[in-house]
Amino acid sequence: MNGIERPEERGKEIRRFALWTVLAVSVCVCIEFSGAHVGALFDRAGMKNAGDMLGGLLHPNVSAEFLQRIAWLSVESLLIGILGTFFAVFIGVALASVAMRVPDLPDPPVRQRLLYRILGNGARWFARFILGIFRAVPEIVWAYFFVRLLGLGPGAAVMAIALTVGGSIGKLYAELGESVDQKTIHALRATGAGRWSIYIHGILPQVQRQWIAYALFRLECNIRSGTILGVVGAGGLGSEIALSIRYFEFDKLATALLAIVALVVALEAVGAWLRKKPWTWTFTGAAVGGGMALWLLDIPWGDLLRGNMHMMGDLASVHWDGEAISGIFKSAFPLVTQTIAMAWVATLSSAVIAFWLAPLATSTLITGSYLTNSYARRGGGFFAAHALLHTTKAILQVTRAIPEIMLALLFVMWVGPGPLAGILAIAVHNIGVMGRLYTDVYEEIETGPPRALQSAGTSSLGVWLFGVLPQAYPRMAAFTLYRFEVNVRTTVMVGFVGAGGIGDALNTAISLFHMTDLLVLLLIMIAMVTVIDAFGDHVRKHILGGSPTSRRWTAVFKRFRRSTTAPN
Amino acid sequence: MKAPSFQLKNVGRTFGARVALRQVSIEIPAGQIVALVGPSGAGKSTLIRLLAGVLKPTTGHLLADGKEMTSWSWREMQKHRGSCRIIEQSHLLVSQLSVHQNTISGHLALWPWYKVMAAALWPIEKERVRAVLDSLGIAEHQFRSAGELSGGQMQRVAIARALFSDPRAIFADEPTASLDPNTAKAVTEIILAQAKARGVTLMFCTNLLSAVLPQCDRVIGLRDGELVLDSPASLLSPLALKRLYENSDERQLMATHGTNGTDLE
Repeated sequence: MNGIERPEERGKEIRRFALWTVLAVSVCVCIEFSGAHVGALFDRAGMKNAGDMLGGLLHPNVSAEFLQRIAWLSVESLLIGILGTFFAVFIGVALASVAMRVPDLPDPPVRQRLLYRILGNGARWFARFILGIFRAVPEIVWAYFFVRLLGLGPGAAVMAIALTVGGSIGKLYAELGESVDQKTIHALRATGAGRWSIYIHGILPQVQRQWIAYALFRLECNIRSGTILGVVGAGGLGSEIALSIRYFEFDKLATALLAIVALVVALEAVGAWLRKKPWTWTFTGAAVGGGMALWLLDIPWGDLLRGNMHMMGDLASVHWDGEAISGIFKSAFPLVTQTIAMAWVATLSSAVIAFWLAPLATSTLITGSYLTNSYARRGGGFFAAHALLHTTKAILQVTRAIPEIMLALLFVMWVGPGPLAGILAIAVHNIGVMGRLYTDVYEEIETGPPRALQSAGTSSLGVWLFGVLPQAYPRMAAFTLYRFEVNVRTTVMVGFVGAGGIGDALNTAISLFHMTDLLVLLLIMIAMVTVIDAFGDHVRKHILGGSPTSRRWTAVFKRFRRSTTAPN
Repeated sequence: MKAPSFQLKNVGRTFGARVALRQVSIEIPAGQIVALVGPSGAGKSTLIRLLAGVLKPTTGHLLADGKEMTSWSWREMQKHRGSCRIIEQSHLLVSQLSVHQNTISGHLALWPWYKVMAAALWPIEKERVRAVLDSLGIAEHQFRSAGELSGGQMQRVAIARALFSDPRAIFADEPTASLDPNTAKAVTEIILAQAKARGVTLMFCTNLLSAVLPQCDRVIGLRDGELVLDSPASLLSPLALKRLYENSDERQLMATHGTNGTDLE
């Protein structure tokens, strides 16, 4: 063969280029499908609006009275996140323990009675179904629902977080519980232990670290959600932002946005610090926060039980009329494709930008080195490298810190309501998120090859392209796909502030009390999210090999490993 | 391009409290082939990394071609690193890339950025890469991914990566330690033959002196970070070697293989 490329190797190259072409074409097609007019970005009136807004942002309102209000709202957001997590973990653990499959012996001598088996399996599937519903309905829809049930205030946000996050926590807890060492369970089964004793003595001890790690991870995310759910009137900083945008009070908007960025950045710093401490520190902090939340947040818990009777009346007004429903279906189909197209365009465009920014935010490539005790850059080169690294890190941090829905509100003012605003909002936020994920992946690679390249005097570009990227590539693709799934949900959410997609239609249905529309749209959306999740899991499995769920969270658990060693 | 000469004056290197190299003074003329021996932990790797510009000395003066290395600018240091190649004990290849791209990656330091990017996208310089791989007997694997190869083949790719850039100095840091004896012998011969043919300065770090000795000009022995042996290869005394390895783990190894047919025990 004499080193001449064999056909299959040439085929490999060609397939790789074909994949890139298909991805590029898909973005163009999806922009077309989403109906976004990119030209609106340069619309004169829109640009003036954006200019006004940015001008206002430069002059934040710093009157003592308003600052006091912002400070209280920040605390409220924080407490919402903490209390929401507590309820979410409670719901998650409760449902997961039912939804989890506890395997029997491979070939048991005696089987359970048929009736019990049917009851057990029925309960299991029912719990899974509930978890699926909780997870698939976006937080903001739950928030809307609970605003109507509990009235304006933080209670709605707490419940929204509790249900959505409870759903995802429950699903993951159940999956982790099912992937424990099977021998232990078989051994317990052989002693005649029942389902619940196995759960407590066989499964819990094996999964508790992972469960705690994930709960702590979600705590951070939830405090972030707590800042934004207020957009629908559910308390926290978000409510202030919604108000100031509605009344064009850009100085107040600036203060509130700065508060959110500060809160998120502080949260990341505190999180990083707490991860180095034993996990009990975080736990104690969260418990104190939860207690304070129950005491300080003004939530009419009674209304949850008593119910808001006119809501039920609305539900009764649903017309199960075949023709009307098929009409809604017909009008909803383009919305579904639009939502998916928006999410796809946003994900890929932010992935392209993050792809080039991530290496610039990786210290081993820019300021430092994989070589230890070696010569370092000096003088101008040293300062230039540090400036580049920290500027990129700051860009990633700020874009990550501003929640999508805030960005959507801003972009709606700039380019007008519609899909483009949604795409831009999600894309900008995801630059920061994916940049961070990619740099995390870069930090987990084997350092040998890049070290060898650096010791041969290779430039950072060469080290990145030949030493780092080939190792990181599959995991980067998996993370990008994971973000696409998340972004489909987020697209629904930003639709609520007028940024296109199925969320827009949901918002209209809720505002106009079209309960039939609302129910059908919710069902369609749940189906869409479920299908996309299943598709993503399948492709990720193909990319990474191994169980998709465990791989999806490997990075998360790695980040928390130190904080969760030896919980006993 | 001329092979570099090195000059060490009282060079020392410490890692925290541990002294890896103390007060070493040697001169290595351009184009010399040096065998570096000594028990493990003697400071062989440290010395090699100092010369390659990968490690900074804590004390003393380190000169390459008569110029003080510690006072170099970043650019000059990168240029020096670009002209030296280290062949490590483990191959340090990127297993996801093809053999071709792994070989190319040794040359990146000498290319402008657009050529680096082109090389990452599409296999370029196929003929030159094949010539190098051919001289190492692995040309038929050029477009396979490196992860599919055997240990010996991977080490050959690592050598190809080092040779492809026409280095002026090669530092081999026990390149055969993880290979079986036959492959080890073949790999050692390849490195020595290529170094001779190209006229580069070669520093070959090994515990199997017998394979290297006939080809090299000089033997340098380190022990506990100190220079204890420095002799022309033809005048090497077995007694000095024996002293070098006294009470060390490798003594047994040296005894089995011997040097020049001289049994140490």
